[in-house]
Amino acid sequence: MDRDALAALPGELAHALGETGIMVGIAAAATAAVGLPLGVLLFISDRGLLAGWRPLRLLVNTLINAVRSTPFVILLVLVLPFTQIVAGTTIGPVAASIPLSLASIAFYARLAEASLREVDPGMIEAALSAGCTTGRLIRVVLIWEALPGLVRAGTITLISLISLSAMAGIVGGGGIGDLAIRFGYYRYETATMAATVVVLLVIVQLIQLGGDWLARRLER
Amino acid sequence: MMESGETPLTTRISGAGISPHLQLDEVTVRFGSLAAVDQVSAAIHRGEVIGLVGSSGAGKSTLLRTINLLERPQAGRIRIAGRDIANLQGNALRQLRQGIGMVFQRFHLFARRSVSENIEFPLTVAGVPRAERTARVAELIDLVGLGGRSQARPRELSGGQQQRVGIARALATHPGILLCDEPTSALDPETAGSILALLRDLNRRLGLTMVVVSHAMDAVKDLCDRVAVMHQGRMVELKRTIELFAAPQHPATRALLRRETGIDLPEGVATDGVRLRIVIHGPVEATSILSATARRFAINLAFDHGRIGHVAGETLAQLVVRLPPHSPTADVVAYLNAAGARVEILEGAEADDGS
Repeated sequence: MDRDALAALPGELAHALGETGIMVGIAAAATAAVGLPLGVLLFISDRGLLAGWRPLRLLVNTLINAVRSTPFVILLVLVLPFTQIVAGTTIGPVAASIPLSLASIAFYARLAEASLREVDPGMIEAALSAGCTTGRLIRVVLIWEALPGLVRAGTITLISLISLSAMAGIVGGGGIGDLAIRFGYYRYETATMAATVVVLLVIVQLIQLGGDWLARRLER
Repeated sequence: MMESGETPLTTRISGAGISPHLQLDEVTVRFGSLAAVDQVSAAIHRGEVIGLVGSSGAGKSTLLRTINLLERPQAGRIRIAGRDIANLQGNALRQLRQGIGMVFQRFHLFARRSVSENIEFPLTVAGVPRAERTARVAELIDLVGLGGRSQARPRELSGGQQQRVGIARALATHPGILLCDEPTSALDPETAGSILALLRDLNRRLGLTMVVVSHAMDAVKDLCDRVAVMHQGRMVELKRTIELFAAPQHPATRALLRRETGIDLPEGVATDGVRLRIVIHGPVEATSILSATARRFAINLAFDHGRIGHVAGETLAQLVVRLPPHSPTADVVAYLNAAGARVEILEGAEADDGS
């Protein structure tokens, strides 16, 4: 590894971090906006809190299982036509964030469903016996009571998103994982590989610490 | 049935002659092929406290939960102040529930909300303005004796305190009916007593109609005006508490009461003479009939076994009394019966009564 490559490393790293930020940021926002509602839907339709929503549950359940059972590398390629429609391109970090969003939405919806199941059914019964609407039950009781669990699930999802984003290089998404593969692995630049691993390690540690701190605060 | 509650009733209203507050007609709830509640009918008057007792699986909780339609009956009518509620849906159903408070065995408080927020919840649901909610919450905290704990989280409270929050929450919207599902079963006996005392007090002060489910007779004996016994989904007995204790008819009732009133003679007790089982209920002086009997017939009464206690404010005495050989048994029984005591000859009836 020559001196020039070493000198270029900080710049490359910063650029890759930016791309990772775009991919993870878009996917995380999409997950919060779509994954949480889907998790709520899975939970309440299973509990029979909304009459007649069973067919929808079946559909959502099947879709989520389909996304979750497809290896991410394959999903990336499989949804290219959809990516073209939504992002207007199939190359770059924004395009890569589309399949990332799908995977992460499906993942988080399942974790959110599990967190909601942890809420004592007695609280739901108490709310219903007070004459509460389903909408208020979801907002004021379910999500509020499950919040620490939902935050922990979010932390897990975010970290797995960063991990998945390493595969984005396949569609030219770039990002820090892609940097590690292209430079660290294919070009035998050990320093680059080491630097990316350290950066990823630090980011993941920070996210985990932050998530744990927030969840603990909410549990109090 | 929405009670205004603005004018709390200070006196107990006698049920006699008034149309029932809550009327069940042939109510049936099935879970699959099992009839959890099987053609139950009952009329409950305004301000009355009804106990629903039975062993587990007898259908008492299910029956309670049909009153606010947490369970829907497959057949029968449920009328509250004359209005049939069994088919209510949507907004009408939610309004009905806002007028019925419910207290749970395991309290079911919102874990991540303070005492105040828990109590405030039904008020928010009912659309009460903020200022009014705050005032009402303060009032309720005082009512159930939780002053100073308004900002505590449920898990910082003892079981008894948590149940007080549960009761305050159930009463927030001035309901006319309070449903209590095993309200003291998760509490130690002393705390259970204080919660029962609180419920009794609330019934008297607010004129609430209450239905209290319990698997134990002793939890209802001082609280309830009448007690219904559930057995395999059916209501097998419903009568005034003291009468149920003094003269249980159905085998299920007797089984439930055995622990409360059962009298088992120890082995090897002397068996000469005639043994009578005597049940007396009434004011405290009622038991003096026994000494009157002894004087009247100039016999000595031996007391082999017995239990004297108080149920719903009346004395209930259940005694096994032995008459000496050659006593005028028939006359003694007639004399006791005339005084209102129930007498059962346990043994020695064939013995020569010496008259």
